[in-house]
Amino acid sequence: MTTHAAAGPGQSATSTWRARLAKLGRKMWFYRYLYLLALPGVLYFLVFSYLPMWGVVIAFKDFRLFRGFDGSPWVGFEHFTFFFSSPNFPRLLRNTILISGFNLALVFPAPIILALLLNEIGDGWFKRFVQTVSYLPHFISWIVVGGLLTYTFSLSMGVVNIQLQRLGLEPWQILGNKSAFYGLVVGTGIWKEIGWETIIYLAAIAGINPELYEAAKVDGANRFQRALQITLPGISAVIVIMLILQISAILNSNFLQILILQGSDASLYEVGDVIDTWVYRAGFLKSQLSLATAVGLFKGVVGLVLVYFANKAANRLTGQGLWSRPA
Amino acid sequence: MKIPNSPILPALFGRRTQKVRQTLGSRLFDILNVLVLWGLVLFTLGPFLYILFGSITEADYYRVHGVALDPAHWSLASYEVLLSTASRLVPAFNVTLLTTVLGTGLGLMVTASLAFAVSRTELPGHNLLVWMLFFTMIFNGGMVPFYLVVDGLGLTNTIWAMVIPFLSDAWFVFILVKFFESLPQELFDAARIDGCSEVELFFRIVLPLSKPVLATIGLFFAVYFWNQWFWPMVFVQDSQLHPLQVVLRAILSTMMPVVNPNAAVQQARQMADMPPVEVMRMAAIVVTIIPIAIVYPFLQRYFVKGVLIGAVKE
Repeated sequence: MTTHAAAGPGQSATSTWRARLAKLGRKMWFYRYLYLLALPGVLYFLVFSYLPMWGVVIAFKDFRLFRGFDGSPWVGFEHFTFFFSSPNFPRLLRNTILISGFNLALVFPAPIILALLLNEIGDGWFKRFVQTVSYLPHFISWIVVGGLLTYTFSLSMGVVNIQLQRLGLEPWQILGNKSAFYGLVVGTGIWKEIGWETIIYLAAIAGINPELYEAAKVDGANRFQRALQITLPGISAVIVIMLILQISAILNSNFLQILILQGSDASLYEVGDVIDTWVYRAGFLKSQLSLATAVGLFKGVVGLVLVYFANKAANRLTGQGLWSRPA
Repeated sequence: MKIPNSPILPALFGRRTQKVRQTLGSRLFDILNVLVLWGLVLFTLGPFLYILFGSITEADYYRVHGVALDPAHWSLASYEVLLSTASRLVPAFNVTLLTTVLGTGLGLMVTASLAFAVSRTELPGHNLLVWMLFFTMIFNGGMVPFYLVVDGLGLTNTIWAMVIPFLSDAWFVFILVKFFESLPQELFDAARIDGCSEVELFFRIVLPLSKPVLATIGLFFAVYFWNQWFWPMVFVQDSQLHPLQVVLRAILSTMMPVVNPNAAVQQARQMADMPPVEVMRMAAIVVTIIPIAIVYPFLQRYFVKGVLIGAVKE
C-alpha cells in the first residue's frame, strides 16, 4: 500500500483506505445502471444455482418435508456411510464408469472421423446437406428418440423386426435387452450428437494453414497421408481438450438418455442404472431426500476434483488450461 | 493415362473445389466416402421418414400391410384427429408454445443484460461476477436441493416452474460476453462522447449489433424449452399444465389415448373410421418435431458461429 507523505503516521492507512472506499463507491454509483442490468441475472444464479448449493447441507440431516429445514435433526455422514456400504454403490459406480468408458471409446471418436470424411468431399451442396441433416437429431428430445426407437426396433411395431419377420428370420431384440443396453447407449449417442460435435472439429480443420497441404503435395504425399499427417495433427490440440473435458465428466452419464433407454424396465437397472438415475428415483419416487442429496453431493465433489486435475493436465499438454480465462 | 473427369460425379455429389488429376485410389475413396455419407444421411433420417410415412398411412392399409410408401394409400386423418378439439396434444401444444415464448424472451433479456455488465471489465466486482458464473459450470447442488428451492418459492404446479428456474446459463452468458467484447470499442467511445449512457449503449448499439449471436442463444433457449420434459414432469402434477413432451411421453409409454376417451367416441362417429393408435402415435411424434425441424436449418449459419464462440479453444 502506498502512503502519502503528507499524511501523518497512523492516519495514513485509514485515510487512504477511506479515500479508496469513497472512490470505489463513486465508481460503483457511476455504474449503478449497469448493476441494475446485471441484477435479474445475478438474482437468478443466486437463487437457482447458489441456494441449492447451500441446500446440500440436508445431506447431513435427516430431512423430511413436513419437519422443515430447521426441524430436521443432524445426522452427520450417516447417509454417506449408508450409501457407500450398500450394494448399490459398486453397481452404480461400475455402470456409470462403464457407460462413460464406452462413450469415450466409441462415441467420442465418431465426430472426428465424420469431420475428416466431410473435409475430403470439398465444399458444395452435398457437404452442406449432410451437415444440415446430421444436426437434426441434436435438436430433438430424448422422448422423441425413445419413440423413434420403438418404431425402429420394437418386436411388434419396429420396422427392423417387421422386415425380419417378413423374410422369415429370427427377431432381433434390442429394446429391453440387458446384453444390448450398452450398444443402444452408444448407438443412440452417436446418432444424436455426431453431427453437432463435428462443428468444432471442422472449424479446427479450417484453421489449418493451407501451405502445409501445398508443401505436402509437392513432397508427393497422397490424400491419405495428408489427412493422417497434417489434418489429424492439426486438430490434435482440440481433440486433447475435448478428451480431457470428457474424462473429467466421467461420472456424468447422459441422465436423460439413460432414463429414456431404461424406461420403466427395472430389469435393466442391473446394467443401466447410473448414479443420476438412482438419485432421481431415491429423491423423487421414494422421497429419500437426504440420501439422494448426499449421493448427488458425492458425485458433484468428485466431479469438481476431476475438473481440477483435468485443467492441470490440459495446462501441461497444451500450455493453456481448459479455460484460458473463465470468460 | 489421365482418368477423364466424369460429369456425373460432381453433379450428384457436389463439386470438388480443386480440379486436379486424381489417382484411381483417390477416385475410389471419393465414391466410397460419398456412399458412407449417404449412409449416414439414411441412418439419421430413416427413423424420421418411417414415422412420417406411418403417420399418413390410411387406417385400412396400415392394419393389413403396415406403413405405406405409395401416395395412393395416404391420408391425413390422423392429423385431423390430432388437431381436433378432443385432442390432448392441442392444450399441451399451447402450454409448450407459451413456455417457449416466455422462456426464450425472458431468458434472452436476463442473460444478455447480465452478459453486457460482465463484458465491461472496468465494472467494480467484475472478477467476482465472472467467478460466480464460472463456478456454476463446474459444480451444482444436485437435483433434490434444486427441486426444494423451486418448490419453496411456490412455483411448482404453475406454468412458471417451467420458465423461471431455467432463465439463464453461464455458458450462454460467456458466449454473449465474448461476442460483446468483439464489437468495435471505438463505436462505444463515440456513443459515449455523444452523451450515451452505459444502459443506452446496451439497448441502442450493442443489442442491434448482436442479432446473430442473440439468434443463436435464442435458438438454444427455444430448443431447450420446447424439448424440456424432465423438470416439468417433476414440478407439474396438474395434467392441464403438462407440456407437449410430457404428454407425448404419456402417449408413447403408457396406454394413454391421444384423444380424450369420451370425446373419442363422438369423434369416431363423425369420422366413421379412427386411425389405429400406432398411426396416431407416429403423427404425435411428427407434430412434436416439425416446428424445430422447420426452423433450425435457417439458423444454421448462426448456431455454428455460436458454438465456436463458446468453444473452449478457438
